[in-house]
Amino acid sequence: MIDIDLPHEWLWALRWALFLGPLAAVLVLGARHRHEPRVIVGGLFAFLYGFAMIFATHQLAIAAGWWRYGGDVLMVMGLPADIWIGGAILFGPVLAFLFPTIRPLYLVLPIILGLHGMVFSSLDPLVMAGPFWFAGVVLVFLVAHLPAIHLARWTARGEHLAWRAALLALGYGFLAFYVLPSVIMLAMGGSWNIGAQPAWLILTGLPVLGTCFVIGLSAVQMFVVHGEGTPIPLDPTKRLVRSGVFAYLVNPMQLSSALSWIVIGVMIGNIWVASAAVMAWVFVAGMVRWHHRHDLLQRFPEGWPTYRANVPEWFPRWKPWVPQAARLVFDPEHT
Amino acid sequence: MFRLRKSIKLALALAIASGVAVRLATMVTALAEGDPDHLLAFPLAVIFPAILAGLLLAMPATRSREGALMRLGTIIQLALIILLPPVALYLALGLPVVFLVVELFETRLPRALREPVVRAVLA
Repeated sequence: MIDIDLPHEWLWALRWALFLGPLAAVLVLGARHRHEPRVIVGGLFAFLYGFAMIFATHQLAIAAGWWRYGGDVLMVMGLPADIWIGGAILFGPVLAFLFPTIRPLYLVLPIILGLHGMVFSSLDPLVMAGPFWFAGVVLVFLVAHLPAIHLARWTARGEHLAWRAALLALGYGFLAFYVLPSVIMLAMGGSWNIGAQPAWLILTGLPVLGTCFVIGLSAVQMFVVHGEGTPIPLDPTKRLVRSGVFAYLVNPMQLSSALSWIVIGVMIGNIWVASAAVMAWVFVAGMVRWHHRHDLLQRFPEGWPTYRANVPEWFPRWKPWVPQAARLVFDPEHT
Repeated sequence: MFRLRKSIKLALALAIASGVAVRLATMVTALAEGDPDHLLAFPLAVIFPAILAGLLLAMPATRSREGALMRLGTIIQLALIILLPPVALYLALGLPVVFLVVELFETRLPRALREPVVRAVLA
């Protein structure tokens, strides 16, 4: 391990470099791949997954005392936002674009051992390493960076659909229900002090939250199984999905998100987090309907209008809408 | 195909450049007084939104009118994020509202009001 003592000016320059370096790299590499939309979409997914999971794993590391960041500029729950976003760009799209054929494990191993192993504990006061910091770094790479690079690669190649959808669902879950509430509380006040809430509230809230998650996860499953695509319109389904939870309502994922934000807001006693449910409606009214008109209506000009006319956006039907009853035929001649 | 008028693009680019210049001056003044906070925040709070706005300005024409208007709304929001640092976080969190405004503009506003505005900003 190298023990160096960097002056403050160098640490400021390092902090600039940790954000602007990956940003410049992704712009240059993205321009090189601009005619390969799946590669670009893969890079975007890798960034979003890494963005969510880096935050989650770093919160664990900070809580466990593996390391902590110094300074008070652009901090989100003890994590500098620029270093966080820079990391999500570097260990997602940049590595995926730069080394499209090298196995992700072989890509990240030298970085863990070489870069982090040698200089991580020499970056005080940018980051102060505590006990077990190396195990923490390995965890961040295993949970955040490695899957992010895999996600970029699988999306670019159009393979491992189920794994892709699972990673997107995991990333979205942490992004929507951990990162976003944390940023909302940074802006509006509040904290994740669940321990201060009554036990009955938490014990009641958790199963309700689980039920809300099941609605969203069921929708993702339908997209994969019946649509052969992901829930993200940039990596769309091949078929119009009207079965399962979609036979009851058009926007199960958005309903799931809105209900989850309300439940989380109630559980932690924060009205602003609960109010994020309004943002789900805003998102549907502003973005999703536009997507429906300009994508689904174009790709499924017959199926979509009929489906939309029979299935509500937010309030589920009591009975599923089945456009055509299935016909089961038993032919004893061909058993 | 729909694209922003050149005059609108120029006005937006000027607004963003002005914002960057103001923030740069603030950073230099603060640094001279021994406060590095503006310097440390500069890449994420100024350079990043400016690059995003630049990318949106440079993108090719859109297939739908709403797409071009959403792009315009996002660029204005990014310019505001650069120009108004005390409310930048709230503006970033409120980004989906831009899309709602565009949707309401396109679907609810009377045609007589909507069309002149669209003609003024889109080519």
